[in-house]
Amino acid sequence: MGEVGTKAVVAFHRSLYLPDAVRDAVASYGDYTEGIDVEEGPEEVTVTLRGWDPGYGDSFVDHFSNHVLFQSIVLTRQKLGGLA
Amino acid sequence: MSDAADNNGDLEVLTWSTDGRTVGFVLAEELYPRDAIYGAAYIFVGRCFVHLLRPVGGAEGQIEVRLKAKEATDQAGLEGLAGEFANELLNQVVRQRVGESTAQIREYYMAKAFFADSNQTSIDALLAELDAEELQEDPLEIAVPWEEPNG
Repeated sequence: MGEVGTKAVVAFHRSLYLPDAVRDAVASYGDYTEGIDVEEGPEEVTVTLRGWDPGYGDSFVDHFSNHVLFQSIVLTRQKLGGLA
Repeated sequence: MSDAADNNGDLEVLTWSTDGRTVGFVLAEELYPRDAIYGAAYIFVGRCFVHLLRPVGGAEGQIEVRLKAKEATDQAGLEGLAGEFANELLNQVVRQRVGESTAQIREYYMAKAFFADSNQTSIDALLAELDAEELQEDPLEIAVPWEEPNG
């Protein structure tokens, strides 16, 4: 479980990232943080990550962003009729 | 500042700036469609951290790509990473254009494969055609060897 003290805010533009992909990443990473807040705005989905293990460093947020991007690509391709 | 691609026809000159660990560059979506950027990003998410964003105050239709190395690297390493991404991006653009230009013929072949008469293959059709030719009359007796009537 994460520790209090680490916090980061990441914005995902709706034209580049799918909200479903953000939700998927939140579900996957939720167990490793104290909490994840998601604010869905008209242009961006803003995610606030709090309290992950400091041992992961900043790369925790980078991995989270990568996961959102990967899922956005996969879901977009699925919507177009591809497998992934 | 470095150039990752020559200004050749439609292709935009890429420039990037580095801050020690990340490298970023702005792309015009008109030249590099979002699907092409997705294609390159899909390949690179295993190698580095990729983040896409709309540049603040940028022109409409611009996408900023930020690549962050997973391991510590120097500026040359980052420039190499950006260069490889740019090459893959061009590859994806070409791939997409070839896909679009050959879409009709691919659809034709698929339709032909799915809706052709499955009971008779093309080989069967050729054999049937040969059989039919053999059964046809030969009034000039071209098929008869010259020695038989004159020998």
